[in-house]
Amino acid sequence: MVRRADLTQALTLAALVVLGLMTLFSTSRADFASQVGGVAAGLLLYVAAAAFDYRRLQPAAPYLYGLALLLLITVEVAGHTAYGAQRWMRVAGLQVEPSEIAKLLVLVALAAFLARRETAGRREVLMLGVLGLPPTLLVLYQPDLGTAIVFASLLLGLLFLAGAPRLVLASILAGVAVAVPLLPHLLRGYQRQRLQIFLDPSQDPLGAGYNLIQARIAVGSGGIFGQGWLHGLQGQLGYIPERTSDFVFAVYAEEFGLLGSLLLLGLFTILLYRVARAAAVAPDRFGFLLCAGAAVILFTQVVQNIGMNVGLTPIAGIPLPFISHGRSALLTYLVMLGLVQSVVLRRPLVSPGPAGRVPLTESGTIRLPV
Amino acid sequence: MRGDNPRLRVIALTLLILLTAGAIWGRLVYWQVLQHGELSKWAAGQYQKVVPLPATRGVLYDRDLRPLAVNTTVYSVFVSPAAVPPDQRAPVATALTQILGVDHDLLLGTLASGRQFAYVARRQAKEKADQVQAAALPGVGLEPEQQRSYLPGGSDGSLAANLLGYVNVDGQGQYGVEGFYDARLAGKAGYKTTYRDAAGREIALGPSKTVDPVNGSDLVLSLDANIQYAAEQALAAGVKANQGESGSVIIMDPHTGGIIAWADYPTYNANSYASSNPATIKDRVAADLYEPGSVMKVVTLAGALDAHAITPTATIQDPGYVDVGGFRIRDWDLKNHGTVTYTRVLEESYNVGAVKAEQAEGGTNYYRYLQSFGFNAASAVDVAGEQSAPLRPLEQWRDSELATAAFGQGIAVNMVQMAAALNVVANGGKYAQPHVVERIGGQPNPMLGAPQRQVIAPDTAAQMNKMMQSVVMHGSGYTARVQGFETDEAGKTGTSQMPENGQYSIDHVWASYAGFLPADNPRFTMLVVVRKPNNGSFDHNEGYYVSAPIWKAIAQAIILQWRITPDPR
Repeated sequence: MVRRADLTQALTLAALVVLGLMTLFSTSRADFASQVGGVAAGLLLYVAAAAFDYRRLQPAAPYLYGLALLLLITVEVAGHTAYGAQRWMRVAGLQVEPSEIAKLLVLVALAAFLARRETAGRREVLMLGVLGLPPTLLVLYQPDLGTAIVFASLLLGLLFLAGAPRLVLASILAGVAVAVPLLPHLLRGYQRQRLQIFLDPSQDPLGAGYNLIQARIAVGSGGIFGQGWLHGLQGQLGYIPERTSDFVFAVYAEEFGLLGSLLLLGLFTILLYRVARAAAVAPDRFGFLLCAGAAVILFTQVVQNIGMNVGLTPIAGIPLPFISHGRSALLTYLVMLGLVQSVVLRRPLVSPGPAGRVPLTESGTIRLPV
Repeated sequence: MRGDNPRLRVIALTLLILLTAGAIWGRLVYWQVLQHGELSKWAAGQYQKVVPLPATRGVLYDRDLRPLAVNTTVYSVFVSPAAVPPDQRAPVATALTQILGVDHDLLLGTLASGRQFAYVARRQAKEKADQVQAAALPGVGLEPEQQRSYLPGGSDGSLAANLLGYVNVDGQGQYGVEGFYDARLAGKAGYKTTYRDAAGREIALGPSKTVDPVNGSDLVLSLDANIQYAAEQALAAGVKANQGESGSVIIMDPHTGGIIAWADYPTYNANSYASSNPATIKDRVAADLYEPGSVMKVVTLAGALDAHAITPTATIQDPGYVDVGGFRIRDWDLKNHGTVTYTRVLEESYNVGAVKAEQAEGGTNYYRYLQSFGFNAASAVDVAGEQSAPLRPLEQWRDSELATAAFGQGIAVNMVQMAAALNVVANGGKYAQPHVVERIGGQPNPMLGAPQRQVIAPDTAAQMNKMMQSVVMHGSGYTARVQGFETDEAGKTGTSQMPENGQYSIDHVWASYAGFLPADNPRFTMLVVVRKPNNGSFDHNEGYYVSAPIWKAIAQAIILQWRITPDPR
């Protein structure tokens, strides 16, 4: 059974985790130590999730969805505030960030819902909206714009891949296109400010634009080969804000340079490809949607985080998967990818070809996918 | 999927991923390769702080190691207007105005400017700085700075101000010794790079680099501060008494060429050079050209003696004039003097005699001696700003020009050149290099290594010495006679007309007197020049009347200071 596992995915994942630990070691020994604990626990959960038959999640979907809402409401009521957002809560002495866990729970719930039908009609689109809106609004209220963007992307991505009518998708995109210019008016004070600063960081170089400028200086001074591990002074001396979470990529890029950055992006690309492959070989629609949704979440997180580090997207607090410090997020991604492995492990040995026929080679043996 | 090809959707998503990846890669290349240099500098600029470690400027000492110029610490008061809260501006301005006497409204304007840094008052004494410190004003700070301090001088300036020069606010030596030796005095500033974290704390991290400063070298001058003081006093009194425009004095050690004193009047205070009249800052001893007049006859006759063209007792006919190249040159008294010796010529300063001596030795010889006495080039004295007029080639001299040069008109020299030329007589016929600095940072001044050049034979020097003693004993130098040294003093007067508007002025003259003492074993050679004395008559504007008494007063001070006794006879 282990021989059928996606070893490339596991190795890519391991490489990312190691790079993440190295970067944290360079910036904050305390965060490094806590992350090591997270990695140890995460690896156990990863293996457990891979061994666990993902199909058993489908019937539990409504409860998982309920749990997600419960977590998000609890943090709103009982959580505590940091960086202007109520995002964390303390469970058994550990800091927990429920919105990270909610990402996985909502993914499972939406995939399970969409898997009930072979295709996605107008009814499904509407229902998906009804299901997706509460968690999105709850994180937006924290406020956590980054996670809200992830939820929104997940909704759109699942609809797209589940085969929603193009007309419906087009009208949703049109709605988004109309909403974006209105965004500055809809956003809360600091979010609006972030957007304006993104458009012109020099507006307030010592205040809100500081983050962007410092990230830019750090990335730029990395050059082609980087300052060397443990030698990125921008990061070491604390000029980069939130250097173990949102702006960890700037620290990484300063120490490892352009070549290191391309390596990191390459690893993420391989990982995305493996997850997309898993979707392609999934034995059922639930597995397909689960893997496809996982790919959408990963893609959105990586693009949004690195994009904001290099000044391509507005600052919306979002961690870089496997690299940023944060055990809740790390555990969530590892479980998520463990479930993707679970799908890969349970793929059929014979998969239907394009025309629904089993492709046979001339010698009569069956050609196996992947 | 209702006829919708799912492959197309996957391809669309793949395209989206590639597009985003391309955008990110492009941005990374732009920042990390194209803008790398600029952003690196920016980074270094915020975490690297270069702290300058200033070098201490060398101290100037006189010959007895009395400090002439020392460094003191003063404080500049600055303000960071951006760090002063708006409601604190008025109290801060009021407090600073009370302590420092600065303009209140101007300061308020500065405080409202929102700038990061502005000086309120520079170079304040420690007491003022302490008061500012005690007031504990927000955004106001003190910056210690080095300032040069000079001794008070004998007239209305600081001691030897024109010789020493000063050091400007940027720490650069200007004029004089400070200017000439600026590089050696300044030393080389060092620096220290430290790293600062985002909170501004100094961090012991990274390649912190320290380059120690190299302090400037101390200079020991040949100057004697006491004699300098006396010379300034006597010069100022003399210039004022004769209502002269200005005056200068240079005193040399006859054997080494070391400058003992060097003074100008009017002068300035180097401690407050910024508020001084710029015209008084310039040194006129080395930086001013003048026509030396009859003092030059010493050079002319010494050369002719050395060339064996004349003797001290040889006689000439002096009808009171001589015609040269179509010009008639006259003696100062316009009288017929009949048969006179060359000693008498020098005693009474007859121009006709000087011309005949020059003609006796011939233009070529005369020119060669001018060169040898040091008029061919600048004296190379180690003071900034020396001016000199190189001798024209001999072919370009007309006979009449050689003749006027013989009595010091139509030839432009500076006082250092003239004093050094006369000193040849005092120094047994050898040229002693004029200089101010004896030792640099404990080492002998390298400019003094060369042996002295023999300009005239020692016998010639002795003959001329006797003739110059005769000037004091029997001739025009009687006004310079120092009690006790009447028969032991050599000198020569000079009065030269200033060229103005293409002809020589009757009213405006350089009145000079030069000499050394004791005559047979000289301790100093001194040249005094007063410009444009205004005593109402031509006779009373002459060197014997104006400059010789100044020479005498300074000589008396030196005799007292150094306890010089007359040579035993």
